[in-house]
Amino acid sequence: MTSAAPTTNDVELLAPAPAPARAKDGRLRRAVTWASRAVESLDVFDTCAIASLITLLMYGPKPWYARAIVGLLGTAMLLVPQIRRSSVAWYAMFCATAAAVFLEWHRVDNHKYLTAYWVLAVFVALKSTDPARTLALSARWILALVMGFAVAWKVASTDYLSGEFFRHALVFDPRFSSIARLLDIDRSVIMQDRQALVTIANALRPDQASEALQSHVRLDQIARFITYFGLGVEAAIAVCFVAPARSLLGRWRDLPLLVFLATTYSLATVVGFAYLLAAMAFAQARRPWARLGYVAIIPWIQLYTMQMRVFL
Amino acid sequence: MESGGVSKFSGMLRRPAVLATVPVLVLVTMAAAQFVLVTRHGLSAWKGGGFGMFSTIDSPSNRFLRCFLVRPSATGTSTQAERTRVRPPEETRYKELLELARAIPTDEHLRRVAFALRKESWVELESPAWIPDNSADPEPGSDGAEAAPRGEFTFQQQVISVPQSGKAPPHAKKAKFVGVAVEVWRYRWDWRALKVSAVRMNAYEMNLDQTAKVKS
Repeated sequence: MTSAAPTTNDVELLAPAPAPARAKDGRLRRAVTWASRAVESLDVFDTCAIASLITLLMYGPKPWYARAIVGLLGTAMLLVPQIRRSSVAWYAMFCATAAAVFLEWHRVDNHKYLTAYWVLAVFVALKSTDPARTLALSARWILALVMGFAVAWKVASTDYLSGEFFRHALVFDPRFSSIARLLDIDRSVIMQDRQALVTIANALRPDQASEALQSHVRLDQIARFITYFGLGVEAAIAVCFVAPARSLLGRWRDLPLLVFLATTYSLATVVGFAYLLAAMAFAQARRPWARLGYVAIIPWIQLYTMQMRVFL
Repeated sequence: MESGGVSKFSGMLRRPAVLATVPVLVLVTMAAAQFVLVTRHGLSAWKGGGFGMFSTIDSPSNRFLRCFLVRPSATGTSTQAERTRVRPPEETRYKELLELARAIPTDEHLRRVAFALRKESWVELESPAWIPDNSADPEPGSDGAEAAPRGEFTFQQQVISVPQSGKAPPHAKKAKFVGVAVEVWRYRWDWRALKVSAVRMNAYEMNLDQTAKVKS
């Protein structure tokens, strides 16, 4: 039995893919593998500490006394690993963040409270026999509870499930103004709705005043979509994080959280909150793809925010 | 034996499962306190660390204050007193007081606003002036949202406050008043019927000689 030698055409047909595409695919795979290995080689506790400190320095407490402590101590902790591993330093950071929340409790947003809880979590982790494991446990349950409470408030609300909340936010909340601009909503619709508020506040008897709002079908549709998408993702995170780690839901808990971070903070650009959640998520993540995802989400949010600022 | 028991107990306390519960318990306690404040004292669900942001329209920026001087009527009898709407002075302490009253409009927080206004010196202008009202117009960033563009909550003011270091406008005379009233309102939205109205959340009236309260 003899077989004919393959011709040049046969060789081309047998080839699985054109050489340039194969090379590109290979480069991408190599880059992902390299990034995964780089992330895997990181010390989880130290990485979380650094990420938390950067978040504190960039989006930390606003009052001068807290900002002074966080600024000076945070810089020292970033530069000197021994201070970064000091429970006393983290306790001082907790005192500063907690004082800022305590003294302005009625004004500060939820993520400032979350920052204080997270700094407390790092402090107590350093007091434990296994800081990385302690931090992972705290992170998991804090994330589960934060999402659980957020879902509970939304379900209990009188104006969330109907889509009215986001219909309102798309018109009045500057954090969502990019959506209205992307949808090319007539600015006069928004201005007329805002003017209605002024008329009511200035009425002789506000309880007897009533103003008409403008109708906009596309805003209604997008509001309904954001309502159910947001609630669904938050509920999925809460359920997956409460589920045992070895269960099917527990194994995939990082997926809804990554979806949440990638989508929510692209719309509502509360960057400090996103960074904090990413640091907490990294602390509890076990799978390499999840850790890589949490690291990659930071530049994604930053780039998206910058692009939004430039183009809208 | 005793020191062995102590070290065993200390070792148990330093276990990850035990220490990890500390921040979790703090979070749950704060959320429970926030729930009580929201349901019983009118705190906006957006505030207080209960993670109720983006769950309801009723954020502090969707609430507004109306402040009044209770003035004797032209006939001069206090039983026929009339109210003149006034604007709180542009000072940091008022910003704090107004924010607190909007976030959680308890009697105590409205009383603090009324008490501060009572101590101001008020003058009556010769002719009314259009001045933006900072009590209705929320400071952007308090919860990130803004109900309406700043400076649009303008009303015609007959009576204005004079800063302690400042001078009264020419021809202005000292305003007589017998009390101060503060009201907190919130917008009521009906996006289905495409209507917006307002509902009073709480009100407080303080007389100069005694303290009286009017609740909604």
